[in-house]
Amino acid sequence: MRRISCKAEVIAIYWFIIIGIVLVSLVVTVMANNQMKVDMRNVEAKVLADKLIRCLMPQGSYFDERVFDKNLDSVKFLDLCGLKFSEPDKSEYYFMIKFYNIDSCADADVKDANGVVSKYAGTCDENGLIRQTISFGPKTIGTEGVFTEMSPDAGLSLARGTRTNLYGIRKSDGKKIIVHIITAVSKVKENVMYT
Amino acid sequence: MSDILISNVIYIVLAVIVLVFGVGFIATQTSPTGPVENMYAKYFAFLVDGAKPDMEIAVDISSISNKISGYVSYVDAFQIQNGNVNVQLKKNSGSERLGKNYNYFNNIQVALGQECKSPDGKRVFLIVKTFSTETPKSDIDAYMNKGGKEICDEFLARQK
Repeated sequence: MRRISCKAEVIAIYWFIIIGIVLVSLVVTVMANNQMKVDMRNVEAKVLADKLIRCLMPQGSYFDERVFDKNLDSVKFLDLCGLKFSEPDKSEYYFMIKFYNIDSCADADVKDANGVVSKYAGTCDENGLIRQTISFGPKTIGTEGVFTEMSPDAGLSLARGTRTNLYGIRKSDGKKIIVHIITAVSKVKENVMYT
Repeated sequence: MSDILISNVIYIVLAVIVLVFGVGFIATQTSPTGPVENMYAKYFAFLVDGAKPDMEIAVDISSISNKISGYVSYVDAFQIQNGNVNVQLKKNSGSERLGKNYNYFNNIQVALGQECKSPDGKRVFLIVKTFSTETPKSDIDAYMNKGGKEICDEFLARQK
């Protein structure tokens, strides 16, 4: 009789262990679901790039002449392009714009994440810069953004970014210009779970 | 025999307590608003970032209208001002807004019109109107003072 009682107690303990495991996994799953955040940094970096493109070339293939003004620093550029980063976000964004004479650039083969090769005017001679580089935000974010664009599976704590090439003409002298734009967004806290 | 009975009773009581806790937890956690608020705050921020001045954007909020509670109007669950979007689907008792925030970088002024219902009444829209930074406040106030119905009628008329 005593042997049966012991067996029943052992079964009860096992039952509670099983119920405990189920309950803990349930709580963890529900909490994880409630903490879910959609990572939209890639999209945001593209939206920022699009905004910059519309600012540089508001009317088709001609550049806005004001962007070649030598006195246009990054603060004035933000005003010109209608950009205003709120105080806590100022260190979460990065963009860099380089203006090259088209003759100073050479096509290079670039492989994207799917292995598709495309021509990218990525190698431009720094001597071909038409005006001073316009940049905003911490450069580390930009470096991370370029890295994660090439390696999309890189750690989520790294910023996400995008690179864009823009071809256009300066209306005043008809000069053909290539513009390299890098945009990157960090904002890890708002976009990555468990942060 | 009494040993078996007592241990079984204890087992059943504990099992019921665990079960009640589990069911209670699921009941309180179902339909959480946090992820939805987070998603819509980003959604509105990107809409504003991509917008130009003098645009009128209709945002379909039909899928979350049943989650909005405690407000006189659906539009009160959303706040877009000073570079920040706040979405709080359930009104809290205090004056401070909780919910989720996301910042936008487009330097424009934004006004949230009243909600509109589609003619068949099945869909609910929020009208987001954008203004340039030079637009005087009086013009924005004039737009807001039009009232929800007029804004909706104008918008729906343009859709035809």
